[in-house]
Amino acid sequence: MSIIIDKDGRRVYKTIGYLAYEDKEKADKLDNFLKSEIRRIENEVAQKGLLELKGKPGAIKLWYSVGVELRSLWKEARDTFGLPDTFITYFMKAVYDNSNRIKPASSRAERLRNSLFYYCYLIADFPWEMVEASGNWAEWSDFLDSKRIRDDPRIVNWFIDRKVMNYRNEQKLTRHKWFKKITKVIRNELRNIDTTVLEKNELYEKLNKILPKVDSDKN
Amino acid sequence: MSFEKALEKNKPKKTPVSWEPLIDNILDQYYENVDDLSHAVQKDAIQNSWDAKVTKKWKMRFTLAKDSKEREMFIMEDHGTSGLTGKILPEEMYDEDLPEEERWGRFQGLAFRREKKEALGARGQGKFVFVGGSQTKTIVYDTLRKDKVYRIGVRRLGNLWEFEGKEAAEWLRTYSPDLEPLSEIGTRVIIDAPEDWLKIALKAGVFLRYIQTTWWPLLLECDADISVNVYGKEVKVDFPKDLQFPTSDSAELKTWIKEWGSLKGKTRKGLCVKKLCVVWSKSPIKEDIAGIAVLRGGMIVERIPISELLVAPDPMLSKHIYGYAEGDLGVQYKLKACEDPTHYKFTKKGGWGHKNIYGAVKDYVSGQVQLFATEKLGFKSGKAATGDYSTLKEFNSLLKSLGIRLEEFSPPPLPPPNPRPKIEKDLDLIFPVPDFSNPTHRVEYGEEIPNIQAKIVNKTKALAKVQLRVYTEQDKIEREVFLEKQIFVPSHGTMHEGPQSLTVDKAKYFAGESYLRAVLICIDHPDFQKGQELDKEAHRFWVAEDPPLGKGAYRDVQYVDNVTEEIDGEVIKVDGKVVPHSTGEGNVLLINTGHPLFKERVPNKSDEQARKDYLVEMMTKKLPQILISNNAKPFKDVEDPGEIFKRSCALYSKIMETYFG
Repeated sequence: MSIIIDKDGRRVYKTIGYLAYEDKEKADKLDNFLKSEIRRIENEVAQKGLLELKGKPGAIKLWYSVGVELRSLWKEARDTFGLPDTFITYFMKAVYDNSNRIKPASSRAERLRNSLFYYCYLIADFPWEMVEASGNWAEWSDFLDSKRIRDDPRIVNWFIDRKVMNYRNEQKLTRHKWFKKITKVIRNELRNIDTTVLEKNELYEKLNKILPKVDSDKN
Repeated sequence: MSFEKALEKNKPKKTPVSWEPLIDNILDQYYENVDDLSHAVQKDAIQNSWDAKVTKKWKMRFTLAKDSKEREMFIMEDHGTSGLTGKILPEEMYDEDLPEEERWGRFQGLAFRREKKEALGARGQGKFVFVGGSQTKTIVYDTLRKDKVYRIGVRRLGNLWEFEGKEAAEWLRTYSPDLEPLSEIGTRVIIDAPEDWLKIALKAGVFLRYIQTTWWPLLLECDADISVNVYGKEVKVDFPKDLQFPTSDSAELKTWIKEWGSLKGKTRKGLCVKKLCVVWSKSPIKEDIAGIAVLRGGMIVERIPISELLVAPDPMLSKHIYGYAEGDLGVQYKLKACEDPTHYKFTKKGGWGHKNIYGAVKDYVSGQVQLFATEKLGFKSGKAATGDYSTLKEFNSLLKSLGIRLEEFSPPPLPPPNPRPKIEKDLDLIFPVPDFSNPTHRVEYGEEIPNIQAKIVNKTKALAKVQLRVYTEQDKIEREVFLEKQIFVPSHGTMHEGPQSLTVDKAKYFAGESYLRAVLICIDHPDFQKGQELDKEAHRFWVAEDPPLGKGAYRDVQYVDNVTEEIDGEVIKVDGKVVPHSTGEGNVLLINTGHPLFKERVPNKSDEQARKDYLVEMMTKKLPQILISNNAKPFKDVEDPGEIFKRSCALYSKIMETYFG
């Protein structure tokens, strides 16, 4: 198992243990596969007119579509090229390295754990209507920047199940401001909490208790 | 009349040449590299022919035969070549460096340069090996060219005869009635009355083996058609069966393949070793394939013995390792420039104190073979004492303070001797550093990290239920959960976990930076929330590689009981020397503990101060070599040996003054 990623301008074969020749050959094939698949995805989103949304309001539609494609691409890469689950972040980095028209401008998109394409992959696991209703790309991106939130998908589940975004109407805030506020409160409250040891009802209860604090948070 | 004009006006007399001793001298050059001159015969014959190749249907036949008049001949005939192109030249033309297309003229002359970059030949002295292989010191050569010109030439020592067309065909018949003029475009060289050593090599089959071990890249990659015929029995030369280059490990063979290995830092241009392949065979290998072959243009020029590549060579390894290194086009072009005219070795010529391209390739190969031996074959090199790492660090800092900087390399950073003082907590996790066997916290695949243990201290008035999680992490991604356990810790009580060992499995870990992390999480306690992280600690370690390089001259020091340098063919016992680090980057100082100077200066090995002083002095003595090869200050662009010596002495004085002052 091996995958090619760029590191300081050099192509690196990321592998577990020593790189066997077969791993290298497989990684080269995977690289070619990614190149053609990403080109296909880019063409498709361009044909749908989504590419023009890059960096503009409404970009969530583009990144959600990309995320849906990446979910099936990751599954195919795992099945065909034998990548283990722990390789997902390298896979997203390889997607970034091989992308062209969908390549995001921000430098942090190159990172492993908090890469833009990984975020696309995460949000595409939820129904589009809910994702769209919950926030725009900047808001989602800000939300997923929290390690705690990324590491426990039940938090996003709660966010959608609880229809958290509906609460903003009561507070007469713009969606952007409200999203920023709730993200900040959740981050602060969970800063030192390993939520994975909590049962689902315990986690939801904790998060429900956090919700009213959004209102009381003056910043 | 001026002196120059007087010279021009009068026809000069040529330098008289005594051909027999001249040829003997040339053959002596070959004997410095091979025991059997028939090796050189095949090497030069194929090299000349391959250089003249014009089609893919190239073939080469070696034939040992007797004609009907009992004349014994060794015939080397090629096809798919251009033949010996060019004119029959007047004698005075041979004073000039003939152009490439004048192949006929060049074959007859001596000491021409090659213009074609990829050509294998160098000085045109190979044909004298053919002359040396003849009891009558005679070779006959004929060629048929694309322009249908048929030509024959005869050389007996320094005398030449040459004929064209019908006259040439008649000459051939007078030589042997059984030979016909060539009917296909190509060249035939006949060694008249071959010497016994050549016939023995052919009859015994070693000539064929020589071709296999010299030209296997052509046999493998170009499917070169070469055959050997001894008195009517013809054998096609195949790729040697004992020279396997597997792509993955097996019980019998282990392999180490590196592609596009950069020579950055060793050369001033972005040159690469296109492919390095090193193979270890469980069964001992034949001596003629042992070592790492350096390829140029499909020909094996030189084999570097394993003993020259390993820091602390093990005699057993030399009988089990073979392989090759092939540079990119830039490297091959540069290698050609420093190739010996015999095609058996690369000269060490370069700037004074600088390594040439061959030295750079050798350094790279040395690093990789060292790595292969350590990581895959389990050979451990002598480790430096922890105190030496501190000295290395101190020495590199000293250089930095003196403004002496290098592009890359350095000693591996040591873990801090006194970690940050820990703030004690009410529910406290104590996670001491495990017993890493290497002071740099490098852990090899398959090696255990022993003595991993944790202590949980509860200073509160209530019973605590906590979860202890110990896991490894690479690239900020959890790699392996080593321990996950819920523990009850009584009020004002302590609980211990471990000691346990963690094996670094090849199937789980990347090579590189890794962390062993422990985190304590509250499950139940009146003063803390469920899930609250109470405490955490981490220890960094390095899987199968050294910590990253910073800046500095030395990365490691090793004590070896016999260190030698070869200078002008003489092996000299030295007090120490600098060799490339196993990663191929940075340097290792080898200290010869068997040298009288070491024994005098460090009579008691446990005397840390004496050893440190000696180490610093040795590092200072050897420093100019590193700085010169990196073209670093104060030797930057300095070529004059006198100036280099002066600067070396001044640098030594300056460092000694700073260290002892």
